[in-house]
This record gives sequence, C-alpha cells and structure tokens, in this order.
Amino acid sequence: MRELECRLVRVINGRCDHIETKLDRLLKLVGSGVSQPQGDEFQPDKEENKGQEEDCVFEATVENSVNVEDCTYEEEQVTPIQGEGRRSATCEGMLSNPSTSIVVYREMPRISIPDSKHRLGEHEHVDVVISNQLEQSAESCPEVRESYAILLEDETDEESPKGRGQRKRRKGKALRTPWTNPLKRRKFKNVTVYDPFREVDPSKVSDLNEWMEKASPRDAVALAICDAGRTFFEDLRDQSRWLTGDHVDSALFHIRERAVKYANLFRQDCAVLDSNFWQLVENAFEDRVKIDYNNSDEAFAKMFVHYVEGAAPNLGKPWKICRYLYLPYCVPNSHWFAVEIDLEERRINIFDSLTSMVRESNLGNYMKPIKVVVPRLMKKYVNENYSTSMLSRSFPYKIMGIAKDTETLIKILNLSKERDPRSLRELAPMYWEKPAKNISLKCSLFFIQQPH
Amino acid sequence: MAISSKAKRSIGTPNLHPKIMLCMKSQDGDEVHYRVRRDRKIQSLLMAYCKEKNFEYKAMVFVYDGRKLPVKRTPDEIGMEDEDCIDVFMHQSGGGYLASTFE
Repeated sequence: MRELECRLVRVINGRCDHIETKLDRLLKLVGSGVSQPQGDEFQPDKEENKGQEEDCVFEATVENSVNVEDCTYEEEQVTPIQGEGRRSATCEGMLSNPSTSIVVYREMPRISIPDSKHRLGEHEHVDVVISNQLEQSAESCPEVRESYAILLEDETDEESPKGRGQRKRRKGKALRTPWTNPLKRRKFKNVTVYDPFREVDPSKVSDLNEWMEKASPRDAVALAICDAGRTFFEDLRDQSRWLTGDHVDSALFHIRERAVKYANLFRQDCAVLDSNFWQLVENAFEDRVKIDYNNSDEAFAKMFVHYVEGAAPNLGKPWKICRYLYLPYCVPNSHWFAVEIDLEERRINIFDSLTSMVRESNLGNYMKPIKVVVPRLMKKYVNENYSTSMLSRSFPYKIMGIAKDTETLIKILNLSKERDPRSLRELAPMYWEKPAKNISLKCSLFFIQQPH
Repeated sequence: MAISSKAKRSIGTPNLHPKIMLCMKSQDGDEVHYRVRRDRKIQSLLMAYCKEKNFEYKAMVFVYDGRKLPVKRTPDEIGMEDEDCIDVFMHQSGGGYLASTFE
C-alpha cells in the first residue's frame, strides 16, 4: 500500500510540475502578445523559411485574441473535442486535475501572414485556408486528431516567376505527408457511372407504347432469361396482376449482371439465386428420407452442383467465395419475399414487404427445407467441416419504401427505358397499397447490392 | 414416348429430317428421353411430356441452359444438341392479398 501511495504521489507531483511549466509558458506568450513559432513541431517550417525574409511566413494560432502557437502535452491529459467551423477547429481539453479548470487549446488552424509586421489583432486581412478534404477526413477517421491547414505560401522555387499574381498555393502538410493516401478516400470515385434512379429515355418509352399497341398476343421480345410476350409487360403495368417467376428471375438476372459489370461498386461475396432453386431444395428435402446425403456415395441432383459451382443461374457465383446467398421465395399462389442466408453465421434472414401475409407457424414450415438442405450442400461441395445442423432463422424484416423499389425494379428489368415515367408516378401510391408485388426486390436492391 | 415420322426412309437416301435425343428432367428426379425432329417446334414435345406425366402444361416452366425455353421455336433455332437436358419446374406467381382482391 505504501509503495502504491508513493507511486501515486510521484505521478501527481510530476503532473503538477508539468502543468506549472505549461502555465508559465502560456502566461509568457500572453504577456508577450507576439506570435512566434516556438514549438518543436514547427521547426522544419522555420528552417525552410530561413533566409527568405521577404517571403517569410509565420504561423500562428488564434483563439479570442489569445495567441497560442504550440501547446503540446500528453495525450492522456486531454479529451479532444471536434471543433465547429474554422475558428472552432481547436480541441479543448480538461486537465487531469479537476481543481485547475484550465482550457488548453491544443490544435489550431495555422494562419499564413504575408508580412511579419502583421499583428494577430489585424486578422481581418489574413487569409485562412483550410482544406475541406481535411475536415472530412477528420470526421471519418477518429484516430486522426491533429488538424492541418493548407499553408498559403509563396513558391520557394527560384526558377518560378515572382511578383504580383504569380503566387502559387502549395499543398498542405497533410497532403504532402507520405502517410496520407488521398486516393483511399476516393474509393467510390466512379460511383456516378451507375445511377439506379436515372431518368427514362422518352424515345424508348414511345417505342414500347407503339409495340404494345401493334403487337399480337403471339409476338415476343427476347429478354436475357426468357422471351417476353405482351402479357409479360401487361402484368407489370397492370396493378391487379401478380408477378410471375419470369419477372423475378429477370430482375435477379439483371442484379447479377450489374454486380459483374460494376464489380467495384457492388459487393462480390454474395450469390443471387433464382426462383427455381427453391423447388430443387424442396424436392431434395422430401427425398432426404430415401437418400442419405451424409453418405459420400449419395449425390444431390446435378442441378444442385451447377448452383454450388456458380454455373447456374446465368452469371452465378461459386458458393465457396460467398458469404451470403440471396433467393426469392414464393408462398404457393400467394406472396413473394426474399431470403438471405448468412453462411458464416448460419442464419436465415427474411425480408418481407407484407409480413402479415404469412403466419409465423407456416413460415417455419416453409423455411425448413432450406434450413436442412443448404448445410448439407455446403458440407458436400464446399467445406467438409461445415456443420449439417439446421440453420437458425430470424423474424421477418418489414420492408418499406416500396414505391421507389418498383421504379427500380422496372429499371433493372430494362423496361425502364420503355416505360412511361408519368404512369410510374401515378402508380407509385398504389404500390404502397399493394406492396407485395414488389417481393424481394427491396432486399435485392438495397440490401444485397449495397456498395461495400 | 418418341415422336417419329410415319414415312419410312429407304436405305441410301439422305436423311431430310434429322432428329436429336432430348432428356426431360423433372424435379422429382424422373428423366424421360425423347427423339424429336430438329425442325419441329419444341412445344409439341413439351405438351406430349405433360400429357404423359399428367402435368398441366400451363403450370410448368421448362428451362434449358439456364434460360426459359422458347416453346415456339425449333431445336435448330434454339441451338440444341444431342443428349441435351430440359429441366421442368413448376410455374410460380404471387402478389399478396391486396392484388387478389382486385381480380
């Protein structure tokens, strides 16, 4: 105990001494009223400007007419607070001793003063340049505590022309440091190349309208997944009609296509399956009594192997590189919803636009085949150590924001170009009333393909 | 059940109607093989299959090579080859109760 007391006393004494020295320094600075770079941090700047009296740049920090150039102290004594605006970019901190309520201004934007005769009281003539990028980066990276300002300095290069209007801005310290990677924050530089809510091409809208008027019931347009006749488009237009597997599979195909085309924009660790997969699963589940899938000699249907290897559906992905599987489920002759299977957490998440359509007890029965079959598939074709115990299931997540989804669905189906935008706006409120028509597309669009 | 032309071809004459062997694979694991003419619409084969299996034709979806089979085309037009398989699935549709009330 005594040792501990002695240690504590030593630590407290040391800190008090440190605070006293700081206070002395502060008072000295306040009394002098002249800002001069004193800190060790700014020594390189001083050296750079040495010998260039005309162009010499002084850096100072300002807060309520008190000029503090450099206040370095131990990190543990300070609780940094993010500043607001340019002036309040300082970080205030409370000292460890609660009796001494001294505010220490830790970080300040540097101010470039073109003339050494300028006093800080005349700062209305002083340009303060703080890069927006730095402010953003400070917000995004909490570890970065120091704020740097881009200095407004004259070009020190002798070859460059001097004089009025020839002054060039130099990059700030943060941008010059080798530890900063400005490209890292611009990861989604080309995010504008894909816009799911892009405007509809009016010429294609008129083309579709013409085709719909003239086409006979036997005419068809070749889409990626199926041939679409007039009824295909009429089903989409007519609110009283249901979505079929063709609509859903076409939408999901274009989601897969989109992920391939914009590989940097959409996550790549998920496999988007089609509506037929569930039928295979249900049949395999019924056959589990006859066939022991744990036996190495027994194999699943060939179609399963195609799914696991990524050969089916078109533009599919092999499961071994995937963490998530997404597939649509149709309650027979009733309702579509989306199912997400997290292979790592062994969990099934359900995204439903109309949760009242399916009872919880029935949902358990519907999900049972996938709970049983997928782990066995994983064990047989992907990972031998994968447990064959049943997957867990969450309660259905309610999906909102249907109107936008519908628009996006149609755009994904490549029908956007052919669809009249005015009619879309008129239909949007109706989709709120009849959200089930949107099935899993909310999930597909806003959960599956969220930029990572 | 195979679909074959009734006219017999004499030896030495060229085969004007070449045929291919196709496999219909339903999800209950059953496989049925057919020999069909390359220049006939595939729909006739599918209807014959449904009749034999006692399926309702309109309630089925036929998938070939990951794509829904265009039933109005011939195997030549589709690009089918010998011993190719056609997967048979059930048709699915859904829309919720609000949609059903409109009908």
